[in-house]
Amino acid sequence: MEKQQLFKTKGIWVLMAVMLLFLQENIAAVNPRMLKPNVQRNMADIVVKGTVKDSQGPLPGVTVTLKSDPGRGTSTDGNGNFSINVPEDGVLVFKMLSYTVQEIPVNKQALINVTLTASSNDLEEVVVVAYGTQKKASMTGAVATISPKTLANRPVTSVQNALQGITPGLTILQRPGDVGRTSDGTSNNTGAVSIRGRSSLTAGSSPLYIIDGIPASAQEFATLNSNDIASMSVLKDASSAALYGSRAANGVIMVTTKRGSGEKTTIQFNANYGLQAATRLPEYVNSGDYATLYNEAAINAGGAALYSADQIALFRNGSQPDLYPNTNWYKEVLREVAPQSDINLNINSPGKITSSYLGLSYLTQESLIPGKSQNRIVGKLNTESKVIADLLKVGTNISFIKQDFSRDGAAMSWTELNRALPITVARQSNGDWGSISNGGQAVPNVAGNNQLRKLAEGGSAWDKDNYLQTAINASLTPLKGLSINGLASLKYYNSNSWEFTSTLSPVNDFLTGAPMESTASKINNMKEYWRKRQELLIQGTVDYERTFGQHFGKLTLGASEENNVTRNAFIGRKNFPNNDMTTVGSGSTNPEDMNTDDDGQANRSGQQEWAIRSFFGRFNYVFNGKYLFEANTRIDYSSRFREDIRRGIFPSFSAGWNVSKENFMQNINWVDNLKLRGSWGSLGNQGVVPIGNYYSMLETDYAYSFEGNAQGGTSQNKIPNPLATWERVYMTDFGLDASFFKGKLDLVADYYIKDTKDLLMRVPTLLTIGVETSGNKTGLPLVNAGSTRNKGFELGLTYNDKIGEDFQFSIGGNFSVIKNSITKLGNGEEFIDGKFIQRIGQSIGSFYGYEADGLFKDAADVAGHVFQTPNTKPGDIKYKDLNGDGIWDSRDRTVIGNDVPWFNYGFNLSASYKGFDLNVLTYGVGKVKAYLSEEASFPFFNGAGVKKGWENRWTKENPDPNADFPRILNSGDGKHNYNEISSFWLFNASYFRVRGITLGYTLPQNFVKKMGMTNLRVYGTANNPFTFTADKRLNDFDPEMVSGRGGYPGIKTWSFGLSAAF
Amino acid sequence: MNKRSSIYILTAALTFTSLSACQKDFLERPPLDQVSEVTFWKTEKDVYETVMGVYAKLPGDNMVYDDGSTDNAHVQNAWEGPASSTSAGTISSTEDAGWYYIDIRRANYFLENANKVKVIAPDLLTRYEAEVRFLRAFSYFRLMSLFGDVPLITKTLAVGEENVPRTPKKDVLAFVLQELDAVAKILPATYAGGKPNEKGRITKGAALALKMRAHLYEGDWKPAADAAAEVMTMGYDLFSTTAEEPGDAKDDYSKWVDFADATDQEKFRKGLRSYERLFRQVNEGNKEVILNREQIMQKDENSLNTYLPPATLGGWSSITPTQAMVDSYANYKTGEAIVPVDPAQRATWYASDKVAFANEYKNRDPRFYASILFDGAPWNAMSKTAFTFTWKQGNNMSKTGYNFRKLVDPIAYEGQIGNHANVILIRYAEVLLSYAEAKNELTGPDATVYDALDKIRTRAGMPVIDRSKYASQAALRAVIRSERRVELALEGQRYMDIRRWKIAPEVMKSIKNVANQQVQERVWTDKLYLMPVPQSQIDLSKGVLTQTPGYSK
Repeated sequence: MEKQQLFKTKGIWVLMAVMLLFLQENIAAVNPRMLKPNVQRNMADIVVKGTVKDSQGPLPGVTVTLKSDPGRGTSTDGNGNFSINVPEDGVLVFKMLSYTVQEIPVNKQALINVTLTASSNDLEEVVVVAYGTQKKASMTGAVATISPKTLANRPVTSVQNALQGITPGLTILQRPGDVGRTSDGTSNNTGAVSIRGRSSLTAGSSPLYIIDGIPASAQEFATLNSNDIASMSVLKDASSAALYGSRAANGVIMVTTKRGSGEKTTIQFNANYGLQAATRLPEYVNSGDYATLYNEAAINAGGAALYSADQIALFRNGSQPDLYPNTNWYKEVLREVAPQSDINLNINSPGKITSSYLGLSYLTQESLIPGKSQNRIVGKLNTESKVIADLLKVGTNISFIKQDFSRDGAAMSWTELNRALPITVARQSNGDWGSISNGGQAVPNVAGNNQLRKLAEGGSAWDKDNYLQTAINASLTPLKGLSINGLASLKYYNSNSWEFTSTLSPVNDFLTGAPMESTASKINNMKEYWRKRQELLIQGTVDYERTFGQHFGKLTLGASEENNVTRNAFIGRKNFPNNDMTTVGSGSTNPEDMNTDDDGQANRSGQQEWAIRSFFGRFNYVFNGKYLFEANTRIDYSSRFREDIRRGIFPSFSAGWNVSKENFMQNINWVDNLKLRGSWGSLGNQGVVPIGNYYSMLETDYAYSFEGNAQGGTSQNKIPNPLATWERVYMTDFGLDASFFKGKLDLVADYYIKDTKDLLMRVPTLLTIGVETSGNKTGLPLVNAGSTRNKGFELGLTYNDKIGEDFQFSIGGNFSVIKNSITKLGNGEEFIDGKFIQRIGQSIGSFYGYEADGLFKDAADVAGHVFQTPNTKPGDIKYKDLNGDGIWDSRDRTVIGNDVPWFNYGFNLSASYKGFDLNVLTYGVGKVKAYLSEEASFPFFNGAGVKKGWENRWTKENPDPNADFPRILNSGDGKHNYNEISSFWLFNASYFRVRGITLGYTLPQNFVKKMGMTNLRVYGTANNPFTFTADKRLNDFDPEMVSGRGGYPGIKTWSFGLSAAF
Repeated sequence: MNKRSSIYILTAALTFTSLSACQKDFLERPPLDQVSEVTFWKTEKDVYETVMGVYAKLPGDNMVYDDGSTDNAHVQNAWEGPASSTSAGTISSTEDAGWYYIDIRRANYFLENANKVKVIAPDLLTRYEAEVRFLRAFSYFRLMSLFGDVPLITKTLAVGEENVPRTPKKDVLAFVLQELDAVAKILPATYAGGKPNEKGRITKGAALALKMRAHLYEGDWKPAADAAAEVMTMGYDLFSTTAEEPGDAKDDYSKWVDFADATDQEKFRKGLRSYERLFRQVNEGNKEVILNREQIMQKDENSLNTYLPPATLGGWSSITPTQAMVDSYANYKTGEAIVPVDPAQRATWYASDKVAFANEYKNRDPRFYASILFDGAPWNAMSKTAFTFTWKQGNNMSKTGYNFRKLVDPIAYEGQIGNHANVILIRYAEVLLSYAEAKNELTGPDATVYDALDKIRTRAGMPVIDRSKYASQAALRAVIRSERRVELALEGQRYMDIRRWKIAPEVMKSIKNVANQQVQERVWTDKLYLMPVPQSQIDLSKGVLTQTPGYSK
């Protein structure tokens, strides 16, 4: 062990600094060499000039060479212009990554303008892989590359949002969410990414993010500006991800950012402004209908009507809005639209010695809830210096993220909003907050829950997150084929959250004018969190590659270590003299005015650390360009596990066969490329195991009170499992890459089997164990006891073509189907957890309950069916007696659906005609269900209203056994309909959605030049404009909503933008 | 120096430096915010704090829901525990009626480990152990009362050991009684105060009172009466006061009671205030309290100020009195049970003649006015201006026409701070009533029985029992039962009382409101004597746990 120790953390910085100083001296001595190729003049040479562009404007950095002499060439400048001396009968070759190569005969033309079409399968493309790069042609793993262009200028607020539907095997669960900070620092509406489907039983399936070679958080990935991205790869199989070992079980997404290229400095400016609106909002019935239905529910349960006909008439005619209102709370509380904007500027400066890239972006987003917004500034400065030509390159990455969320008003409660009734006044005509509900009565506890008042007077809060990353990398190439690379990165993360809950003066009783004391909130309070994290990474790799005749070999060896320290503090008090206090010092000093949160008393701090040390190697071998072989191994030592089980080894092997290079394929013209790939390997996941898992911990807190004083208490609430270790993935992948018809049609297909073993799970345990057995306070240990298998098929197809000279198009489709099954569950066969079941042979996310067979039509129907409950009457849900034993009981339950989108697909279209370009992205999922309960479905639940869908319900007048909803009952009387988990409340959540439409226009060059620009494009774009859902009962919910009781709506965005280059 | 060679030298130096810089503890990262068991169980403080961890699990304000499973009260919100479906008769194994073992594990964990600490006086350790053993017995007694047979677990279980069958109820009871007998010999009758002898800890009286309760529930009259008699010698007494809260003085009861004279009115007010103030935070730890659940200021308030009051006072009306509860309050003047108004007549009066309607609430037991909000009831302690209860229907309003006011603390309400009053779990009045019941069943009426009952009546401002009229065992039994229902209303006792007296089939009838409209359909079936084991437990036990008879498998 000790011999393998790497850099000492503190020393490295001193040494790096010394090294830089030392080198500076030498830089002066090095004569920058002219990089221009040695062009030989020919008598028939002419100067050819022109511009190269793609559908969205000029392309810098396109290589332009003479076909007969590839040594003669140049590349386009920042404006896409080139100038080259070539023979007048020569042929020019235009090449660029991710574009189809074009050959154009010169034919004595002095001006050649070229438009390149994007290609997804360029074999010369260099793909970023773990700890290096690889040519696409020699790749043997399943790696998807995502063109930054597909992500750029979309009106989304995180990169995750932009990835949905782009590439097969990458699933983005885009749960609607408000503008606000989650515990990992991302905004609530950041999509959850999973690669090749969920396989963990504990839900943690986020991939590993690597930005510029450095592991990054979901927050760093989310806040990346898409214009700064140079390339993005998704490592999907074990072979490609194996070098990330213990953290790659859920796949890896690798990003490299730009670092200055081309011939001259360019400045690019992008701006877009958009408006967000809800895709769908829950629809509740109006006050007249509410009162009518309330009466119907009461009578259905054998009670009496509450609202008189006169009252209902008053609700309907709206003549007394102060007593008999019809309030649409969603309309009152939420804004119709909320703006968002994104501005970014980047400066790309190539240099003879140092090239640099500076990217700056500023994003603002407001919420549909008034007073909430996000402001984000991201800055990135990358440099690359050829310190000594051909010997030493040094690069730096500095990035800065400042992400602020703020809220003016109390945290709005969606539950209370969903419970707010149409019969409740929001504001009285005299300007007071609403006090009237229940049909003309002053009701303090309804008035106290008025979310409009909470937003206006309830308090305020903010979250401020700052990230600073500094990294330096150096690459030394002392011999041909040998490179020695070092990388050190230090990240500082600071986050600060503050929340003030104000005192509230009482609401006046509209009838008497007297204040209603219980609506007052007399004690204000403040909570403040400080978090900081330091992440240090040091890594070194050595590459050696050599070609012997037809053999090519490459060896990579490396080691790395990471060290991550998080510290946080919670301070807070209650009872401030007024609502303008912002710091803890001004709070009351009484001990009982100490604030608390879910984790206990204020005035506490905590620290968590983890470290990992790793060694890895890769060997590539290629014979004759046809037969490819690769082997990888990584060894990790992680602090998360007890010393004796700390080591994990993750090997992988893969092979490929370039079939199209075989002689027998040479005559088949329509096949340009055909490669078969296969891989096997293992990966790990350490993220599920909590830090300190192997210590037996006791919890301390204020437990009890004696003689008026809080007494500290200690208890053992968690049972440790010192032997918890990595989850392991064993993945076999067979793939095929092909392109046909001169690159017009590209196809990538993969079939894989992903076995996840030693899955950490909390084996469901009887309550007699004596600790919490569910929820986030669970005391059950994580045990490596489960296994799952995902068998999946992925297909990506792209077709590019053009019609005439000006119309180009590309149509793509991608599909991913996963068959997930649980293969081991500790010693058990199945575990039921609320609505869900984990059962061997079934998929993760299976709903478990009774199968509903419509509704009881009439009394004879009830009598003729097996006995359900004494309260069951016509119009109630009919449950199937599945086992046919004549008794309806828990043995009749079965798997009734699944909430994980195991089947998803996307179609993408892009086309351009002259200056116009159009892009359409779509996304769909199939075979998904959502369980909507409580306020989201059940009428009158906990004082809620009734959803409009209930208009089509079973009634005595319309005893339709297939009505959308049963006879109406309040939640107490309707327990037999609502509380039994049944397929009745499962909604088909399959949907097809147009994710994005962009229409752009690039202004003509001569016009743009006059304005001093090199390019100007304007565009309009719509995000989520159209959604098609499978269940008509679900048409007032966004289909991507999580099962449950309702929350922030799904968002569609319409925006307008421009991008200009100088 | 040649620049190339200098680079090589530098690289070599860098590599060498870093390789030689070993950090042995690089991968050792213990969490810094929790206590590890390895370093625990060393000091007296460790023992003290783990005892607190067990106390923390004492139940509290939820007892009021238990009355919702009886004819005393209506629980209207289906999502607030099992009472609404238990009372309707529809409870099924999808609900958890209180299958809970966390408190028991904490106690077992303490009992297994505390003796590792050597730096503690042996007597103190033994006393701590006795407190914890009491708490464990208390938990088992509740489990047993709810479910009958329950797994009896007396050690901390490792994962894999938890699939235990239900132990027969008689064995659980035997364990509870044996533990209570043992700890009663160890625990002191009172505590001096101050750490570690704080007032409020488990006393000998608590152990004997729980023993009394256990025997009473079983109908073992002799040991029940003996245990009660022993507690009655220990210096406990009923709480009594003439103090009033701000606003109380404005309550004009002369509108409701025909007072004979000023002395009569004073007696009435004293009875009312003594009874209601016994539960208030200002009177915590009074001489009537035998066991209570203490609440930490600002941290764990009891929710009674929210559960009980009507929406017009910002409450939820979660648990509201039934007409039957209201009917059980006797006549203030005579001390005799009242004859309830015919429901149809009451509804007519409610709709059209409020004066006649109000007559029903006149001249009743002071505890009626201290416990129940009826149409027109004054409660000025709850408001700076004035408060009179008026029943209206709607969300968070009573469905029956009445609200409870017993256990609500107006001082906390007025201050808009949580009600931190300790929740009384056993009090002396219960001992007196249990003594009366057990002794009457055992030997029939005697002076000690009447004395015990009279004490309670007198404290409440009610006339004493007419000893000649209630001279028979059966006649007195009815009085005792009625007295018990009224005195202990909303304190969770009625749940077991209607079960052990086997009167549940008669009393668990559908309930109606004052307008004679049905509020809740109630169907009693005998399976409801015991609660179902949660289905999740049946599923997990793979046949080891059997379901309570009458509930689906």
